[in-house]
Amino acid sequence: MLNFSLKKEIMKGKYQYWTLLLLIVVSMAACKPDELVLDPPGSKLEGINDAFTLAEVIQVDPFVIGSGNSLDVTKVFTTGTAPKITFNSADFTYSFAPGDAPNYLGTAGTWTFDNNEYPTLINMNAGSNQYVLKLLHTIRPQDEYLEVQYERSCGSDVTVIYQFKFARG
Amino acid sequence: MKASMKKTIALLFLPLALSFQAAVAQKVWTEPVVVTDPTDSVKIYVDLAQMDCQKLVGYAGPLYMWTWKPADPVGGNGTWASSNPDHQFVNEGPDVWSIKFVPTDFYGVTAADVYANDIFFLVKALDGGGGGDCSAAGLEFKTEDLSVEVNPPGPSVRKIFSFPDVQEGDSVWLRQNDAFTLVYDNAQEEKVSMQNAGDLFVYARAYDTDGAEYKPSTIAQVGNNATLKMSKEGSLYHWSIWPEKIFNVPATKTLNFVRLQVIKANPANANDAVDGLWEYYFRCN
Repeated sequence: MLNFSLKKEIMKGKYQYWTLLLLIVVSMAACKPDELVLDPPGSKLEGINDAFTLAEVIQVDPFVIGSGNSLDVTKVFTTGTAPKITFNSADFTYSFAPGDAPNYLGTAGTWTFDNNEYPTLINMNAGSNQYVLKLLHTIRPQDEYLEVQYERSCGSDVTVIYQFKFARG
Repeated sequence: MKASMKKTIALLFLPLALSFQAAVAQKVWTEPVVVTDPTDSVKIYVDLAQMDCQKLVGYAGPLYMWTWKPADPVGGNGTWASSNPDHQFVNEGPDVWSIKFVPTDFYGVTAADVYANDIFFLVKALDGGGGGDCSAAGLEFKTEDLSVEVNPPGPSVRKIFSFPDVQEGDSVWLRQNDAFTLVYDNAQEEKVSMQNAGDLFVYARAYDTDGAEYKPSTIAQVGNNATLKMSKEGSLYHWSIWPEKIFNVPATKTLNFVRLQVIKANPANANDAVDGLWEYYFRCN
């Protein structure tokens, strides 16, 4: 009888030990952080596939070094109807409605990125005229603004630079 | 001579004497005094007597420039034991030596590179010696590191100017469909009747290459034309335009130049206008 009680106590102790161990393992597993998975980088083709309205224009004088080489000339371009540009990434066409602003980009044509994954340039082709816009900021679906730079040349020299900031929509 | 008079004379000459002393006590100075154009020649003077390193004081020469900024020189520095003979200083007097060169040519860099890095150099004997001690008792025949600051010219104080700025006199490298801005700084105004002016307008006229004149308003109506009103920020007035549009230049015509005058809204006489007419030629048309 005594022997049986001793065995029972030993069994009870083993049961408690394994239960405790199981609880610790389960608890540790529960504390383990979830695997972090990065979202895929935003597609620039998707990002630019939209209509954008001109919101800000900075004119840059390339002959002036240092401060004082730029001036906000937004009013010249946005007084009245602001220009609007639309890029279509399905057929790689664009349209540009200059509104009441000077038109440097034609009214319609085709376009390409220099690199669809990591674009730095937008090459625009409007018949016999070609335009190159430098991207000042990447353009992903979540980016609110399309910021580009357009350089105008006189002969072989770039004589004036415009930095256009278009707002999505 | 009375003592008080002597004292007065002494006080009058003291600033001059101090400035002369300051000039004399310089280690390095240049001609021009302030270097702003690295594409033009600059003459660098050094006074060995003012150096921390005294080894070259009284040295008979020859002495050479050893330089590393804005870049290594096009011809190289030679070796420490045998300097490039083209970089020899000219003896200008007791312990005063000079060297003259065009920085952009000498270093084979752009003006922007020189602005960004300045000119760093030291003066050494043909064989610079060694040992790290350039005191009079040492064996290193060189000065400490020296430098000449080179900065772009600061914006000159102008009462009226354009943006973009003029190139070659009165020419702006723009087309008639570029943005053009006239800037007027009222803080620079000397004409009493125009100081602390309120609203200002631009009496604007444009001329095409055939000589035809275009003007948005007559001088009497300028104040009624909102497109001719200058915006004001502090003492600065701006007038930013799209010339082709504001002057209504026909597509078949080419804008040659604009003639602009800053005036008050309803000018009664010359007191209500900034003195002068400003003309800007559009050279990229």
